[in-house]
Amino acid sequence: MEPRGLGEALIQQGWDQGSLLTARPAQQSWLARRPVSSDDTTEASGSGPELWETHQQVLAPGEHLVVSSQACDIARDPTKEPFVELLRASWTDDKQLINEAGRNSIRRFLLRRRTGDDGVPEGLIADATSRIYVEKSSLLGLTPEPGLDPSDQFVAHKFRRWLADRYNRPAVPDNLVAGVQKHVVEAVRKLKATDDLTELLTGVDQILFFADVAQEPYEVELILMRNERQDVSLELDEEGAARIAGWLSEVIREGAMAKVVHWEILDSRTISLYDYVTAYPLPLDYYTLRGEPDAIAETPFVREI
Amino acid sequence: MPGDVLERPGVLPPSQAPRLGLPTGDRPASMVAGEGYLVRPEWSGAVDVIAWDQSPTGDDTRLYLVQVKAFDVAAPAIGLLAGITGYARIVLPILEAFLPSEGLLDEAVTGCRVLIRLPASPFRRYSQAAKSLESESLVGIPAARLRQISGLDASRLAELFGVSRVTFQAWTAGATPHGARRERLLEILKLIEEVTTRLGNAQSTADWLLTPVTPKGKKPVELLRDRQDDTFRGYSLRLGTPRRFVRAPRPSRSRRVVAPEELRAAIGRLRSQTGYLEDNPASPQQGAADVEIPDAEG
Repeated sequence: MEPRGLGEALIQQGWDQGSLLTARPAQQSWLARRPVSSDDTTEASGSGPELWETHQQVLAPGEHLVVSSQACDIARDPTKEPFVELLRASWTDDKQLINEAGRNSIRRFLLRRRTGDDGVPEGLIADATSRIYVEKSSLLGLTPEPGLDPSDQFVAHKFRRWLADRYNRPAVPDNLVAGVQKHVVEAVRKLKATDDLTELLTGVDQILFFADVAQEPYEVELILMRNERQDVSLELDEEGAARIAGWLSEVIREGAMAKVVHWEILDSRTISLYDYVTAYPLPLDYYTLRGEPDAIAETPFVREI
Repeated sequence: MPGDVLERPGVLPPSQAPRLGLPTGDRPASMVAGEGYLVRPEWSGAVDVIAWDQSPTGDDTRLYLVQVKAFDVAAPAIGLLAGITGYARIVLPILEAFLPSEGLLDEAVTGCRVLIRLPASPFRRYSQAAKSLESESLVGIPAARLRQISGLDASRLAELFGVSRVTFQAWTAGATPHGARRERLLEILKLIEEVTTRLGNAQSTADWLLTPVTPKGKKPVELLRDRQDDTFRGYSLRLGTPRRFVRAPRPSRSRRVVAPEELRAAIGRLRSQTGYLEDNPASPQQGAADVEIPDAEG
């Protein structure tokens, strides 16, 4: 087969962004500098090829890979773009992890839900921090599985946005991490899975915010974006939104650096382009603050199912 | 009272002024009807009189804080004592210190309670009592403050705490609730202070507290009664303060399919309005090529 035809053949075979691959056993590779002795003169330049070596890690048996490349990149001439990019993904029944991935986590995305054999709800979660490249020709003999619910166009659209958002969303400045995000993340982490606020938060797809930082306490305005996924049964109403906003405002106020002065409940049809583009996202599952270790949910991501 | 400094707009209604022993002409002209007012003492021999009275509808209370000269204090105090209820007994020792108390107290009259706050001089010998009273003055008595800023009557407020009206009124006069009830009182006071700050006055606060938040929803006061504080706080955050960043929700619109003829006509109108073709002779073809108009068939 001609190289150009390979990409098109993959598309015809059903490979697309969101396709799922079970590669067992697969390995993830990365580069790392090998330890050098003190008399190694090439270290000083840092450019000696012998300083770098490939490390590998075998993926766990329950892991999957989900295609993050766009269809046009899959179809592209393999001589110019030889690889398809995939993310590690795994099923989990950890409710907190599912909830975090179902909201505006920058790192994790809830691809789909299912009910396990024991009746326990499970979620298939992609991890944006872990990317793997597969040669296009290797996919040709494999049949893709749907990673996303084909009947839920909102999720497919959201997945595309999420992949891009990892790099194109404005980073939250340190003062707002310290004054707003840190307190929210820590409060969300303290919520129990059985807490009705945890359930209520599944009705929120994203939380965006603006802040006036002219003086402390910063004045914060929140936008709660309704979750429009079809696999979310809870439809957030005004009262539920008011409860979340009231709770967030108290959490933020206790941090003493900021206070919520207004909020709105919107969705993709009602938010203005200005608000969507200029507001900061408020990830609820982690924050990074210079001078502090990363505060990331400690739940182990990869589990054997 | 010449020389008084107005700290908060308000008015002493003419009907009340004589009762307090003050000539109506003394009130600053800038005061607004329906508001209480606060006068800053300018000399040590002054007395602040804090008085509550029923509104014309009898549904809520209003606060009046009036300063009178020390040597005039007898006149208003005599007038006030005529309307004192049992709640104001706490002030009697102070009043009685410079007033003949005999025959002045009429407990049958309700609806007016009085506290006298004394500065150090010339009533130095009562300063201890004054200090004690001041600590429990309007600011210091959470229930009184709650009643003042919420604009709600005692019965409604008593409901919030699951106590009788009489018990709540005792709280407003300085009786201290204990344990969980005191904690709850302070929680609710803080929540309603935020609302009043946003709405500006007690009447607006009362109106909001008694209006359902959604057509079939609860009233804010019912959210407090049911301890739905987060929800109450959430709704209150949308009051008063104009949004500065977040735009109002946009009406949801479905995508409209435009017929090719309509699209061509619209583009033609735009071109004729902007004069683009005439003003930019070097690039009309380029501009035209950028616009792709679908065929009528397709």
